[in-house]
Amino acid sequence: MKVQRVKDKTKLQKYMIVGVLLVLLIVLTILTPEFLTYNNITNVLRQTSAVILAGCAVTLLMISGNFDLSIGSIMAISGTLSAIFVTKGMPLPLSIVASILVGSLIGLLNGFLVVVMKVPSIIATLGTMYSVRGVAWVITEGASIHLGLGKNFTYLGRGFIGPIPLSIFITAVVFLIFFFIQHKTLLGKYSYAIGGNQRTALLSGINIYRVGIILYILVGTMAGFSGTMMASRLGVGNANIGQGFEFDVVVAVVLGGASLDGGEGSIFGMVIGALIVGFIGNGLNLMGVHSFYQDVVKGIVLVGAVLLDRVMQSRLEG
Amino acid sequence: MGARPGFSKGRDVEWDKPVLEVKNMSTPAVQDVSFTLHKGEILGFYGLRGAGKSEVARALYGLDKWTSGELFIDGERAKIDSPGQAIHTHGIAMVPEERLSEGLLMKLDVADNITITNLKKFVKKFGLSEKEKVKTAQHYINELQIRAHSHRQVVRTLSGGNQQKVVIAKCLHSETKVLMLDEPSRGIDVGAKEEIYSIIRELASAGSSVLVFSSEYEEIASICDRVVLMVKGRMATCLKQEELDPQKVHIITMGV
Repeated sequence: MKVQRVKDKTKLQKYMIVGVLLVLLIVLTILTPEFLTYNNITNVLRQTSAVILAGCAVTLLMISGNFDLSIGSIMAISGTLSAIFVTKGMPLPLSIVASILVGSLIGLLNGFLVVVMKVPSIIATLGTMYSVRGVAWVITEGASIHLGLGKNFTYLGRGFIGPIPLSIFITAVVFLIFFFIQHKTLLGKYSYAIGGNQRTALLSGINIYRVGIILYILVGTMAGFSGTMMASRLGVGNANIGQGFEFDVVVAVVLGGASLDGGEGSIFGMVIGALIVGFIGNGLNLMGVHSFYQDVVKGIVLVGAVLLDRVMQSRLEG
Repeated sequence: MGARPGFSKGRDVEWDKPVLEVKNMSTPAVQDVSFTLHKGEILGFYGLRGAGKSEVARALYGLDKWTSGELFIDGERAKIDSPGQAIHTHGIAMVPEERLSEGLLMKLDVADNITITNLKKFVKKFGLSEKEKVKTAQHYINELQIRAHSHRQVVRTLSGGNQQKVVIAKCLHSETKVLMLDEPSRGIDVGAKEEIYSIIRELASAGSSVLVFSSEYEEIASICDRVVLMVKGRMATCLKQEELDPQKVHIITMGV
């Protein structure tokens, strides 16, 4: 019996957080009349899109046993650059692609530091987190860029395809792509293998260096995309974009079943985790709770999720 | 339990077909090692702990840098820089000494572990085929008589002998020409040991070449065609099975 239960830990956790999300939705519907409206729900989904976009790549990275603190800063630099490029006369689509590529490059730098130079991932990405945000402040000279962006600048973040907000549509597509990567590609399987045991992965013939760097580039790219979309939604390029965002993403990934040691986690779980965090924030807003308290709640949710994971782990292995 | 049927003592080594030739190999840990491995041969490396056996395996698996020496595979000059290259380019696979920390992915199941080295093979038009993967895993579970509830059982919960069979199964693809086993029966009960030995013999009968690195004399003496004796990072001599004598081997490997 024990054997089956150990195997099903991830599954159990998946059912559990889906349950938590459903209970949360029901409670919020009962408590606040404004909650279950089309506008409110799409609004939360649009805000959560930013977390899910970056979270898709971060989930794979954390499954492989690595970590990235610089997500929020990459969002800032890509977001501000997308605005700056447009004001310098670059066509909008090109400016979006270019600013996302800058995110990829920072991901490559992170990968180089962690995988090749063997700097612990928390330290390396703490470094890029600070210096990249610093660069964003420098290039914007501390100001918000909102003049001369043109009408189309906000399309990516505020546009619609029929009744569906474009950003939600894009996020759904990205989710499906990463879901495929996790389940059906070598990259996905190798991430689990490396996070499970790096030594075994190497001896099994997996190029752990290449996989490690690809994952960091993916995270940089998706964070850049997320930042560009957020700048578009806000209609402004500001070095403040994505401040503290790494935290939201990590909460979502951990709620979704990832362990900080690697080898576990899922894209689907991360999406549910992101929705839980998004709806909790929204619910507290609707009930008029001050944003200071929301941070307290988020912190408790993160530690609670990790504690629960530890308790379940020791119970099942007990 | 016990040895499996099917093994016949009349196994023929094709002495005219060298598969692997190592000439004057030196690494930071071993000096001037030369040997030839033939098709169908089981070649042993025996010595005390620290004599450099594992280091020979590591160098052939692309883990340790060669400082000098030449390598020929099927008569052609070759160079191995990484385990990936050893496995996929040259068909050399290794069962590492540390089963738990180097051989297995403890959180994953039997099927995942068996197929991880050869996962590329299962990539089809619509991504990895779970069906093909399970089919291959099932094949090796039957072939090596791995005792698990199913291919979904997490390897952490298997016995030592069955875990070792999973590690061996990882190494057996159609392309594997040379199988290296480092301390293949350490920490395994007697029955499972015999099973592992007959698997090794059968592989050699089927035309694979095998290198066994061991510090157990009985093991080496019972399965190997020839044995290289290692002393302090150098090879002292190479003996045929019929020349083996515990007294003599003991004196040589003590380095006196």
